[in-house]
Amino acid sequence: MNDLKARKNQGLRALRRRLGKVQIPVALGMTLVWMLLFKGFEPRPESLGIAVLGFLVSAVIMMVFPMPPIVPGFRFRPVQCLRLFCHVLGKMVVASFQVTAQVFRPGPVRSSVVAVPMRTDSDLMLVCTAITASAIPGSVIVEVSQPEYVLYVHMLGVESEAGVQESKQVILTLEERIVRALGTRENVADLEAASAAVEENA
Amino acid sequence: MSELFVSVLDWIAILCILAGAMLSFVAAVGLIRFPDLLSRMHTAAKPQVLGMLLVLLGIGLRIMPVEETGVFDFGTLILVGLFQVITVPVAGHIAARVGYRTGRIRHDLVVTDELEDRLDARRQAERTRQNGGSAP
Amino acid sequence: MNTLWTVTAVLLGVASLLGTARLLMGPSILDRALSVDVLLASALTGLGAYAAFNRDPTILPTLLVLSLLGFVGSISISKFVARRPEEHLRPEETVHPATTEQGESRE
Repeated sequence: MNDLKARKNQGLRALRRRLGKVQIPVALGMTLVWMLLFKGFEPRPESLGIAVLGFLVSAVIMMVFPMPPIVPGFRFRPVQCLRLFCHVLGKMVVASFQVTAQVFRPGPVRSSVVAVPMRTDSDLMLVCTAITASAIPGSVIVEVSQPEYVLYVHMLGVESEAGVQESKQVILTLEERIVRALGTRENVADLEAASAAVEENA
Repeated sequence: MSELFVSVLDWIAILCILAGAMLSFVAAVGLIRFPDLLSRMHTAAKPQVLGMLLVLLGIGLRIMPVEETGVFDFGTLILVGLFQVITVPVAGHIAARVGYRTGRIRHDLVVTDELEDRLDARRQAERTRQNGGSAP
Repeated sequence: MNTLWTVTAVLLGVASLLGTARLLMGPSILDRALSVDVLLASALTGLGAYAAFNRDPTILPTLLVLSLLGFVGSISISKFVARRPEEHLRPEETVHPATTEQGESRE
């Protein structure tokens, strides 16, 4: 009898630990995707049910496949996000033209693998920078060194030392925009300290 | 909605889709023309992200104003764009990483390679450590 | 306007042919995976163009499925190659000796 009780307690504790794995912001994001899938934004009575069901499904998913929490979290700044969006979109269009020119230019194509050390130590910022840099044509992330926060970027058509420095600057600008849009206060402070140090050296 | 408005939207839509098709075409040409895997990857990522976004915009502009069946859902378009923007760079990165590590990179075409330098340095360090450990 | 639709179709057709050529030429399995990705992108664009041309929204869920399928496909091919790098190289392709050693190791 006692044994059964102990086992029940153990099960409850395990369940509670699993429940602790549910991260509300991520679950809300998954609910949003669920609602987009099932037309949950139309004004009709089912929409509420879709939202609740979506939240339950996301919670169950996060309990069955637990993910490490996002440390140190993020802050959403709408205006800066809009600026980031425009910046990335503009960069994409310009870079598309550059790559197209590269494709139709005769002669061999040379490129470089550039190491870009990040100025902030946040996994989320690292991932976001890597994804946006890859989405922009002309740069592909070859390797991410997570403990040191260094991105290794393959840049198409970069041949000279000046070009290497320039492409590093492009990635760093991207990082700055992302940190300003999504980073916590500490991230922004890190970034500003790092750029101040660079300016002093120059 | 007025006739003129719909026709203007139609023209914008067809231009967007044409641009998307052009990006696909350029990517295919680059696929044939570029000599190694990593440079091919640059052109391949283009229609998948920017081209797809343009096509989705075109679909939205063309179907939205005349839609009356209720089948059309703007959410689907947003989802396709979202998935494409998030998944394509991830897949590209994994393929590039595997390609680099299994030696499918033409070193004569890479001018500066800072990753190679670092991997070399680390290998050197590992070798000296192993030698030091095995020595009596 | 009809000319533009035709041009779109022709561009996509040529793109698919070129992609198929790279798919046949290889040389490594990763190149083939990449060309499949480009073919898939052309197919997505083509389906999208079809939907827009006919003003037919019923195809759109297909786009959703295809885009996720492409992701899963290329990831699994890459993982497969990472597991055993030597087998998928032809003899004339020299494996960079040291890079394969730690093919799977996590940086």
